[in-house]
Amino acid sequence: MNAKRILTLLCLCALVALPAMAAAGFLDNLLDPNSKERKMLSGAQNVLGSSQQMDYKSERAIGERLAVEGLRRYGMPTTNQKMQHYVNLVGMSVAMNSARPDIPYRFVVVESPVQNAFACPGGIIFVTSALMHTIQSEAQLAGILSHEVGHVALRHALKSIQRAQFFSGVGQITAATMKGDKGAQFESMISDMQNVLFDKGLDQNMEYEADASAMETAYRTGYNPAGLMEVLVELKRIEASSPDKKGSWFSTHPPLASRIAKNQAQMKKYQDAAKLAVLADRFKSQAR
Amino acid sequence: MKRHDKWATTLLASLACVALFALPALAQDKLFVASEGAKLKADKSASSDTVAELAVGTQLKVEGQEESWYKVNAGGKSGWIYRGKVSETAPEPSKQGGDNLFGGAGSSTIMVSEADSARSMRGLNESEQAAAKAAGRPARPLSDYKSALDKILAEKVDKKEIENFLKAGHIGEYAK
Repeated sequence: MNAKRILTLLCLCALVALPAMAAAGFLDNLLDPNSKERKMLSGAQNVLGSSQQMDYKSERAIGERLAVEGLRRYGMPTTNQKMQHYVNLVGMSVAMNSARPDIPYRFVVVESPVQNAFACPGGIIFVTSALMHTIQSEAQLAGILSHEVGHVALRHALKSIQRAQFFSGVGQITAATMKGDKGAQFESMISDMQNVLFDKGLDQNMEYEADASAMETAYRTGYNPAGLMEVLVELKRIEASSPDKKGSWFSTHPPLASRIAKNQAQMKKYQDAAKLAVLADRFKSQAR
Repeated sequence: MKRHDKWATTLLASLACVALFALPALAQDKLFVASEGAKLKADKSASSDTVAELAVGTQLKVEGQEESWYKVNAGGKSGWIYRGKVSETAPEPSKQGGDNLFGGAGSSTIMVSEADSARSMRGLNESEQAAAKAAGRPARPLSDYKSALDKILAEKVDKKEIENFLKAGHIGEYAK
């Protein structure tokens, strides 16, 4: 009879104590400002704080306004229609398997000597002709486009500008809501976002997050997820000799070495990566 | 006493089994459709018949896994789905009122505030002058950017074209 009692007691202890201990650990960690739990919580607060009011149309309106700034700053779309369409095919193929597969993405190559790619909120994604020249295969292009799709899916640009007061009370950006002070506030917000996208760059952790998401998206689609890392390695190689660093991938993204190392670590997840699509020849026939 | 020992051993073994196997088994027994254009196929091959087209968020009961394919049941229909189309957690619902992936992006709406008053038109021209100077190029009228953006938004690809593109490249479920 004793054995039965002891066992019952043990079972009860196990059932009650384990979750309780886990919860206590979680709470303790939450109080530590450097803990993973604390970061998770503040991440959730940021999401709620900055994007809960915004509908897709407004996000897209902001994106289109920034796209115009992108064209002014970097250059007009390439006249190579074959390349333009091909980039859209690769982009849409990865967007289908991204963390946000239900918005209409558009991809554009702009004529620019600066090595860069960036994403406007709502899904308009830019790649410069210089970066297209650096890229050597479809898997590499898929990696870069998945990285930018990741920024859109995770709403990084919107989260970067903590302008909750602008969005509060503006459910949708329309001609009527953009008159007067709101219009001026909108222009000031666009200017802040330009600064983030084209000069300062997004937060480093957002870049790492977009890299992780890009590798996952490329892998899910069926591309070798090493493509993104290969482009980063090539960019690192040409970094020193690259003349146009202002507004480039080099000035708006975290140090390449640390990103390459992080991506390399993530590659361990993808055991069958070497068997997946690379398509260097198709890239060269469509994007040159 | 002997009977108690046997009972205790059985109970301990059962507890160990529950702890070791129950949780992973539970985690894998259901999946969610997480990609646009996901199809339930009759066999574990993209060239087999399509049993159903599955919407993002559809819950799937997992019945098995072979190579890159899951054998699943979706609302009573049995079939196979490629691993890249599913996730273990339900995808975030489209609460933002987004259009769908293959929807038209329409023409640009830029930017109402610029287009509707002479004051802001002048503002844009000033900012265009500044942007042109910074980029070392001649200033352009707003209509140039508007038509360039409209052209970007009009660049459309449909589901069938993507499917053929993936098939031609032997990508994902179309791998050889």
